[in-house]
Amino acid sequence: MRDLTGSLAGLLALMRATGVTELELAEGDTALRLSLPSRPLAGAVPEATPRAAPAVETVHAVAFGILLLRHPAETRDPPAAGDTVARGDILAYLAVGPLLQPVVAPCNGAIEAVRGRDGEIAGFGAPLFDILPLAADTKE
Amino acid sequence: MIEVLLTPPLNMVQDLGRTGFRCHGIARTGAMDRLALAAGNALLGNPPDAAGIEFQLFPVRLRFTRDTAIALTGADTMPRLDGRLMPPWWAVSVRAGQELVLSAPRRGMRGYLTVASGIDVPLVFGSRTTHLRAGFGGLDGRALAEGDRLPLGDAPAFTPRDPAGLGARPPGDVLPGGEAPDAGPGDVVLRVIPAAEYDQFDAASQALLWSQGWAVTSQSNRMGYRLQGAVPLRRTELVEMRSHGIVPGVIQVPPSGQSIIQLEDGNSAGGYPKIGAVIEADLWRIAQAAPGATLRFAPCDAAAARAAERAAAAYLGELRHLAGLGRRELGSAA
Repeated sequence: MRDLTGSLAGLLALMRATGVTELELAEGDTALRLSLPSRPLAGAVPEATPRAAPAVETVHAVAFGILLLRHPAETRDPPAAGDTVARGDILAYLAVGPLLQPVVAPCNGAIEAVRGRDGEIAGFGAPLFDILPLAADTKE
Repeated sequence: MIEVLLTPPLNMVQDLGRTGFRCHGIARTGAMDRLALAAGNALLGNPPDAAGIEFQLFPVRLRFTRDTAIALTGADTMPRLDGRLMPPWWAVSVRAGQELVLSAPRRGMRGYLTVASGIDVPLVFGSRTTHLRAGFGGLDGRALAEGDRLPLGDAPAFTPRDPAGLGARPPGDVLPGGEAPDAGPGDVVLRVIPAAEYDQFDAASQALLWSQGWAVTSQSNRMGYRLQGAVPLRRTELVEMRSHGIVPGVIQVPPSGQSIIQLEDGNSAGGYPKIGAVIEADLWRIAQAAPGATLRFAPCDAAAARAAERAAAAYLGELRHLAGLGRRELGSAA
């Protein structure tokens, strides 16, 4: 543990480079926890959409997990292109073991494309949905 | 506090049940779907025996009088928090004044609300569960009614990292269940260990136990489910039986030849012959089988029953651990 504190900067750089937002090291009764903002960082995610279509907002995976486009317990329809969504709506789920984490619509708008595939492993930062924001809701 | 603004009868405070008093005729009672209640408590980091509310009838409308965190598990009651639809098996932070509306599930039967730190009704014989027939435990020993105010435990010191909350994969999606060759889609398969009087039934009845579907009749509730099979079961010899201790899951066969599964609110003793017992790890599946559903029995043994309990415990343990990583302490910057 004491050997690691000298290389904190290196660990943080590694986390930024690989998109890891939480790192916990434990040894005996000592624990070290590093946290970074849980948002894909600029540069960490390759921009898939060319600049020509800036209106589309891409929803990226903010965690690693198996993408579930439909909740396993419910009969509600999975999201599809053309569906309207409201900011904060849960579009899909990322499953890690028995835990489900939400994939959330960042703005009011319509789903332009479903880019993630149901049941596949999504890495951190993977593009999952393209959302066409409502004109009034476009971010500056 | 949780204020009850609207509720039909039979919705009650439940925990994992009151154990250790069966010898005095006090049944375990507790949540019918114990796994759903335990998963809600795991999502919130509560003690496993924290009390929640079991909802059997709908619609329900509740208001929270202070900030807290809640989880909704069990059947999908299409929970709406201030109008916004939540996924099933989901935990979120709530603010004082917010209202929660639950609707009748399209699939499954019983929904569970758990709250950070649990519902703080007094312990009676070591449990907060409502014993409705005896009239003690829970909120004054009765079901919830409009105007009730339920005290909550200490305020939570956390919030889900993602404001949209976090959830659990439902156990039906991840825990292996029994298999019955003739089961149709939607049939509920229950693993059953043959019980003491199994050998008193004729060979045809023994085969029918496993081969025919058993419809859940409308005479089914927290005490037990009365089932209807196409062919009644018959014993080769009629042995007079004395009353003996029984547990939730026991399948009795009264003279009608139609079976009864004794459940959480059942008597602590009974005198009907027992052909089998549904394993503890599958009792939650009965809780979610509504009248009209078809049950199928699949033979099981004690080793497989223990393995199923271990699988459920592992599911809950992993969920508790991972959900802890998905929560943020209030006041921390992370």
